[in-house]
Amino acid sequence: MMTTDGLRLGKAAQERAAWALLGARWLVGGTFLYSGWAKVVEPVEFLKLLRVYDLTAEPLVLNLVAAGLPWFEVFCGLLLVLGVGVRGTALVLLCLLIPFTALIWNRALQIQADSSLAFCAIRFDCGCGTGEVAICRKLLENGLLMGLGVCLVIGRHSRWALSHQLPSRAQGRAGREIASGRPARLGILRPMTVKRSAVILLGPPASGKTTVANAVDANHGVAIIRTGHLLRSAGKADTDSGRELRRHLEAGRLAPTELVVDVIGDQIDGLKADLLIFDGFPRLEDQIAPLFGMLEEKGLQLAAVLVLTLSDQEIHQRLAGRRACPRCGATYHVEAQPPRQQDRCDHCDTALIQRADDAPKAVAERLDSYRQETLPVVHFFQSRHSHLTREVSVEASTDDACGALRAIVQQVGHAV
Amino acid sequence: MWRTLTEAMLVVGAGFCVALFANAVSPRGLDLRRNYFPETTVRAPAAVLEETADGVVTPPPNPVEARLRQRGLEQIQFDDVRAWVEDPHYEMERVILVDARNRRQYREGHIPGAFSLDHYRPDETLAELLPAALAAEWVIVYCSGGDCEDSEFAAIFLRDAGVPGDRIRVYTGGLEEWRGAGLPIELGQRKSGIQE
Repeated sequence: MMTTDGLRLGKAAQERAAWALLGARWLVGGTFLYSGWAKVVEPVEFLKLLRVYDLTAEPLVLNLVAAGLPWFEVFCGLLLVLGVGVRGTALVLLCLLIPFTALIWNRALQIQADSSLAFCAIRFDCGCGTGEVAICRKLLENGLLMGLGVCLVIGRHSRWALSHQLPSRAQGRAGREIASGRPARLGILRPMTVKRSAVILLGPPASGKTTVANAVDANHGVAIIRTGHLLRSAGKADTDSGRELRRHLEAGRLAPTELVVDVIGDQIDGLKADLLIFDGFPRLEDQIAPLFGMLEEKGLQLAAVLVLTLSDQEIHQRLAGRRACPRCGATYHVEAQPPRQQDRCDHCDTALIQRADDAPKAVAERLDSYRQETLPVVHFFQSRHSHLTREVSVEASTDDACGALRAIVQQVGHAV
Repeated sequence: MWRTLTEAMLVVGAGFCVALFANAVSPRGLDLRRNYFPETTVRAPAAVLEETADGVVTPPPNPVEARLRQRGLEQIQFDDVRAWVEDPHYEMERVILVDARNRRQYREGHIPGAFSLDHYRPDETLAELLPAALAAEWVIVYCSGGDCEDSEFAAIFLRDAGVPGDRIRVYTGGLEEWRGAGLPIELGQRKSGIQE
């Protein structure tokens, strides 16, 4: 099932993935909770077992590890079970499991050298909280835990998770407060001065958001954040987030909100513009709080929300003739806005294409998706930030909308 | 990815603080500054073949014996321990036995009449043991046997507490050897009268 940016997967597959991640989270969390608690109740026994590994001759260091590690494991296990800071916690546990496994392996090799036993016949208490274990079984368990840990680091955790990611700086608090329409409390993490402004452009497919945004694009002080194009570009990059995005894109899944926010945040960091126009973001209700958190973190103030309106009939007509540049993201219309040279991009001379999601069936799905997922976002701004939100019809042309955007830009102090 | 790294660092920081706090308030917490595995300053000669005056070459000591020497301790064998326990002096506490395992293990069975000293948590039993150890002619310390070193650390603990080192002996065979010989085991508290 394709939608606007080809980022959607069937809900059933998403459900299965969410349940699988929940299982992995509880299994890893429960294991650390159990093994940590077993050591918490007998710290001296753990201290003695730890000493056998001959890690350090310094009593303070040995005591710190023996006293702290069990409680640390319990803490991390609890975080995973409750679903708090899942990715960071899983990364920490992964970083612990790797040296633990290497130490156990090394100890088993020492025992083998002393005893001439077959490797898998070796059994000893490795200090893992589960008493005496067979080495091969223990290594297998640790391998499984590490594999699940990797899944938890890269997965999107939504099922029964209190907060899959801890708030970054002021994102959580300020984001929720501003999103609710209340002013954020002043705090040490909040920028004391807001130097830049943000405008959000919302509208159904083919309403001309990009065309309207381009009306003020010529000025250096203004930058347009084209989310769809940005995600497609980021998905091609050979970076961690690029690879993760690519996985979602190739699987046809909706890109996770935190990843979208990361990509947009990275883009904003590299911009010197004083006014940012968000085209295509936020698209979902659950992107509203992260949006406000990001605005707060980046020192941006929401100046206006421009909502474009268009009838379904006009949407179908426009999309049938729409062409896009696969390289620079520029859009054209075979009748209303044709390129100078037929089927070639005016900016980069690349051959234009009709996107798969502009096909009639896909258009119907996109409209349905817009009504179900994006219209609630529009309603949110209209109800909570009505003084900043303005609705403009683009049924006849985008001129009114372009004029409205220029006026907004002038109002917030930028030349157009 | 940066956010995940930042989050991981937050988890490490918070977890470290939680762990330190929990250890500090837990009744089972460890004393971070204490050296639970003291090594002695007394150094034994290197384990080489020793030739006596009459030309007899003796083998080097076994690892346990070498370790005891290095720690300035001497061991006692099963037959001698048994003889002491059956000696009338044992009842008069001129010879005492000290069980260096933890309190749970002690309650589950110990050599009859043995005092308890878990040197990791000495406060529970030291008040009863120390006067007896200072007055005794011989103090015999044992733990489980085998690779167990707790008897040696408890012996060093007692020596550091003022018990003369030359009166302390370590019974390396431990409870394992005692039980294996079919000798009586006392359950519960010292002199409870309950035997296994």
